[in-house]
Amino acid sequence: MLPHLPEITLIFTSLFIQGLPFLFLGALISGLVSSFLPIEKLIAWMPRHPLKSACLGLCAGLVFPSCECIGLPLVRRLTRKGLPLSAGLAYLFAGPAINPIALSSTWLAFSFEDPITAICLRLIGAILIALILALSLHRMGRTWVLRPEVLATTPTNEHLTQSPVIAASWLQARFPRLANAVQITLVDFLNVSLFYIFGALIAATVQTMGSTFLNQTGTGLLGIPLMMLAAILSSVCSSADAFVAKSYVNVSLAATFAFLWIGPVLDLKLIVIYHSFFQRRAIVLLTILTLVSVFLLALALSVIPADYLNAIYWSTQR
Amino acid sequence: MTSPHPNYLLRLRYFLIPLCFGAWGCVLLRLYLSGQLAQIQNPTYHPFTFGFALILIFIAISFPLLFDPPETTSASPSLAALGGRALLLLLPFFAYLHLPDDFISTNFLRQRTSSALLSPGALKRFLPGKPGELYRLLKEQAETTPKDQPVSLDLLELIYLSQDKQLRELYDGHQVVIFGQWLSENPTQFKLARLLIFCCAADGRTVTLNVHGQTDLKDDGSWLEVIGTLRYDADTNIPKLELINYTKPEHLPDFNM
Repeated sequence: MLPHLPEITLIFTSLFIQGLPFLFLGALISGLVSSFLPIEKLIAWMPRHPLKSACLGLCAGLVFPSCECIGLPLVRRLTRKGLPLSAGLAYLFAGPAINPIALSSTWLAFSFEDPITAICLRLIGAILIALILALSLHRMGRTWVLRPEVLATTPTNEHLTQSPVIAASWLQARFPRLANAVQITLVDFLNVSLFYIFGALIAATVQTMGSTFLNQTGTGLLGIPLMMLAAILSSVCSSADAFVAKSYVNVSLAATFAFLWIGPVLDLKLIVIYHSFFQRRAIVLLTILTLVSVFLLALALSVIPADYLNAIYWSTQR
Repeated sequence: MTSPHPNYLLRLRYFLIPLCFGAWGCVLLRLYLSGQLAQIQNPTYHPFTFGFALILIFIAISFPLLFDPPETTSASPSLAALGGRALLLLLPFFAYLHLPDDFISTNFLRQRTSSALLSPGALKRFLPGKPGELYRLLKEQAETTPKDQPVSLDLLELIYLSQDKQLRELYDGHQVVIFGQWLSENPTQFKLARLLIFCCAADGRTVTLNVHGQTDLKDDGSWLEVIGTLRYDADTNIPKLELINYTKPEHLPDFNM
């Protein structure tokens, strides 16, 4: 491993630099939402039916610009407040792929072909996968899926004095709500950061060791699992993954979309970060479901007659 | 396991937050101010990194003023748990200290090299503007310059034009000047490479151009300005360059990586 240490260090540092500001943003939003919005009332207003609440989560994912790193601290905190599991999970799994930033980068990356079809394919696949995952995990129940500390519901305004890490002084006396928001932000950020750093380390090590798989592409059905593997190894942010997917040439359209569908839900660093939210058995189920559903969806795409999809298939032999 | 020195460990845990934030903030700020950030992150994200560095440093400085350590009656962390947490949180700082001056090693460049051309969609990240505009500029440049007068081309522009039949015909046999990093290949050929970072170095991909000719260079990864004649084989869109001359530039061009 030592000969590869410079590359591992480089990838680890770059993943850390890339993800941390967005983790902080997610924690900040969760702190502000928890402290300043009547979140319990909003949650009480939400539909209890799993499919309906999942659809609400999907709508939130379509509107709010977020990525994997922003979504997790926010969903984690709101789930503690009682957010329906299917709503939170639908947002968590679909949001990174269907938010305005991800869609605009998909538009740009496919601008030489047919960006509208590309966006439709990305949306349909991401929504289907998120629904499958959210409803399946919802069915298993909160105690089966979530870590015990996430299950422990907390009142709207936690007091800083309850924190085992920091206690309020000046800020608490003057601006109690702001102090509460800052405390939640810091504690959530640090908690998720620990998992993120560990995940980035694992991702950097495995990616360096398995670098030969990063550039492997295959034709036909083999292309689909190879591109799925490349997405899992490369741990790309969903805001730029469309460009990375397009950087693989001579791969089928189905394989390209397999890359785009799996990346925002499952990669090496995400698997580790999920440990801050899910029980291990839920992560295993989520991994299996994602692999199977993405593969089947890509397979379905690959059997659609080429005439229908030629418009967005980039042939390098043009 | 609870520690026999709860106050000491509680204080340590309390100070871990400003310590980590300060260390992380200094690393990010130094990377940004030194320009080294461009080697590992796409410029789109640089403002986020800079802003986040300032926020971290602000929190680190103001933390002891805003917050007190928790009550001494709070449950004390175990030394092992606190040590592990501190090690993990400070790992990025130690990783940064371990990075060499030149972040991108030639090993890294080679690992990410693909012989195939990138599709124009992927290049959109680096070649802003309307596709038609770039096409028009490249066409105009080739038509208004004699073939024996070198024109400057970015390696990415070359990849873009290589995928259009009309532009290929215009540039075939044209002398061009191209920047890139030298990668040794064999005694008669070398590669000119550029690392493209879409998001961060984890998704970096190396694009290369085969250059036929010899240099007396020894160090893989040296930046090079190459003048050569562009050629395309009849049945392929992969460009190759026949070397005329090369120089080591004093200043690197400002790539939009």
